Amino acid sequence: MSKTGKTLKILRKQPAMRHVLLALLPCIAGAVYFFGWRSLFVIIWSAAVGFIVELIFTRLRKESVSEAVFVTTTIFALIMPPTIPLHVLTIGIIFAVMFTKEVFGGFGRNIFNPALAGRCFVYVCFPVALTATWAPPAGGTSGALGSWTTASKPDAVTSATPMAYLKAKNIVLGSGENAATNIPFKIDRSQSVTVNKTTLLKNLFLGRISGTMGVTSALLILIGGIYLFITKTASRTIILSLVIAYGVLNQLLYWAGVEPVPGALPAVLGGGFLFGAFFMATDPISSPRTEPAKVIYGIIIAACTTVIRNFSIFNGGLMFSILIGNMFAPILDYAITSVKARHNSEAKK
Amino acid sequence: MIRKKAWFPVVYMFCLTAFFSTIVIGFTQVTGERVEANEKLSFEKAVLAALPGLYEKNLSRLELHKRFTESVSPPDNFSAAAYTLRQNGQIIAYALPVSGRGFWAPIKGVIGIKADKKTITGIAFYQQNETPGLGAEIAKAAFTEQFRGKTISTDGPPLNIKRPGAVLGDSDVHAVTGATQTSTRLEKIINDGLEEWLSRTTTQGNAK
Amino acid sequence: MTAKTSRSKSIITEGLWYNNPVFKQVLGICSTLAVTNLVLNTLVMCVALIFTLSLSSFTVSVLREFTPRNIRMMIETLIIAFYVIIVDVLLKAFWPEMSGNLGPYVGLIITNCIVMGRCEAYGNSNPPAKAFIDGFFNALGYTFILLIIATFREILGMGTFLGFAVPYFSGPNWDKWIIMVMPPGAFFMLAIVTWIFRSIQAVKEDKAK
Repeated sequence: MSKTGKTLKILRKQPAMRHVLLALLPCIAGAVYFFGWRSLFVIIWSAAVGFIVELIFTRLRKESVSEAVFVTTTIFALIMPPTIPLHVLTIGIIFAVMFTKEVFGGFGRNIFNPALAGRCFVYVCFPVALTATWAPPAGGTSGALGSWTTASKPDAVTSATPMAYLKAKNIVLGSGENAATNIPFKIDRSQSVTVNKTTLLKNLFLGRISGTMGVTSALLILIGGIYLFITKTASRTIILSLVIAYGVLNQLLYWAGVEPVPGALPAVLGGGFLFGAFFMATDPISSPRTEPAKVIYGIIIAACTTVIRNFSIFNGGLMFSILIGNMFAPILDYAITSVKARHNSEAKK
Repeated sequence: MIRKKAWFPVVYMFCLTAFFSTIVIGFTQVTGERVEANEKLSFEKAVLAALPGLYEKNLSRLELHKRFTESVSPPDNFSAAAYTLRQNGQIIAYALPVSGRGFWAPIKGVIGIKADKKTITGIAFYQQNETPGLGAEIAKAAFTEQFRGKTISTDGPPLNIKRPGAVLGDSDVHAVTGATQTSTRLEKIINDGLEEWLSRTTTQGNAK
Repeated sequence: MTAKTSRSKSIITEGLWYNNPVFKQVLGICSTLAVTNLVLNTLVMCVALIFTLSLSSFTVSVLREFTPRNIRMMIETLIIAFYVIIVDVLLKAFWPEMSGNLGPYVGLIITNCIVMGRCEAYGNSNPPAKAFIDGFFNALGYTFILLIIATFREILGMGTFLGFAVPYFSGPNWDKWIIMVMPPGAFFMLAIVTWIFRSIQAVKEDKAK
């Protein structure tokens, strides 16, 4: 690296990160389609803030800004509710880039996934902005393409996501004739609405539900996710181990009759689980590097998510679980390599 | 030299411990009553705040206690677990202590109910450890004042804590914004307490 | 005379700045994290620590000629516990709300590393007057760092300062930072304060060279 600083490039090229950005495009399009053009503005704003913060710190170290910062900010923006106030967004990005990335020494040295740590910070810091207000998705074929935002000021506020309603038993899955065929946006706490299971699944798959900006549609996530899977940008081992472990665990609990587990399909499709599995748990820096460790890592996250989502007071189960998984990543790698080393030395004897 | 002797550390430690403990014990003796009174007083204050027309902000400790002992009578057979406020022997209001699990730690409070066992005269909490700025707002006047004058519903849960912004009925109050968990648990504490008390007092009333 | 004043002056600057218990020695962190959500709580806690630290350092120093070396830690703990219990009982009797707010943390001053550390490192080997000054200014060094942290936490998290509403921050335009009121907020504030103060120290040392 040059020390003069004059020949320093502003951006460091990272092809892998470009793949990820490309894979995020369907989700970004979905965010605009369901919740209006404000989503795009939010994504660009996040990128700008993240770039500036990283620029300041990398200049101090005489390094270039990594393209990974745009992945961080885009993912961060996509997992925010559409009604997110700009100051909350800005604080979250600054925290994500500064405290989970730069203070550890910049790109490649962070322990936690920056986007998730930032989300975690604002989730605890501004619970009202993050969990109490949601915008309804736009209806019709043209979606929200003609509008800035779908959140109409006074009443598009307090509501919850379908997954939260499901957990609180405000939505009950049923198949009877009087089961509702669309998912109500707002349910009073004492009410409960019976929703057809296939309706719920269809909505979770297509994404016309209230939720975080870019993560409501399993279909769009899968389009990007499969691209990552095929190009091997994201670790296949992690994706497979996480999704399979989570699905199996939920189905087993569902068969065992444990309340309020909704079964494998709604669990995997709902709440942005797939987004977490394809885009966040696979972050090459904060996940383990050895193959067996990746399998264990996926199982740890799946188990924690199941527990937190179903039995705790928080709804952000996947977020906490991936952060917990990040915490175990180095020691998993260490354990695997030392076991291998012992194996090798014994084989030599 | 005396410090070199083997028994010296033992005796030295013993003397010092005896010296300091004596002072501390004496000190706690002097203040012990006051500490106990403080604990009682926080409960008495909550009872007075829940009952109509008794609580004033600037009362001294002594006046508070005096008011409590003068006007509030302890629970008897007729009022079940509730303290009562009487005027010329007639009950004009009950103060029912309730408690249960909050978000972080137990919540303890007092609900004031008119003699008709329908109208709420007030509510006060004397122990809670909810998140400051969120759940802890339940102890603030902005939240507790809402309960004054609400009626206990006869069908469905006695009282409802509804989402902020929801339309309120006669027995509904607004929750603290963002404190969903505290509100849900508080609703349960209040309703469990009220239901149990109502069933106990009505069966007794019928027996008489 | 001049030598003497300069030495007691150095005790003061050591405690307050060069060897500050919080950001330099990183001692007494548990209470730093626990009580700094409100400025008033912090003030009371700090007064309690100033009282305990200066007096126990003083007492340890008075008894240092007689205390056998092998049981000196026991004696120190005993002395510290004595002063802490007095503070605790006083609070419980005359300021029950504050006692409730501070919870177990007043009692935990007994295990506050600053107190034990100063008694061991200084009180044990110096005359009483100096031990008192050393204890006092170390506690003061702790106090000013805690007050900085508490000020930020209370204003950002509650919109108030010493319980009084701060304009703008208590208004509807300010989204309160809930995390600042909760223990994790203290971690971040402490880290930032340590970062800033150590950077200042480093710059000064560079200049001195």
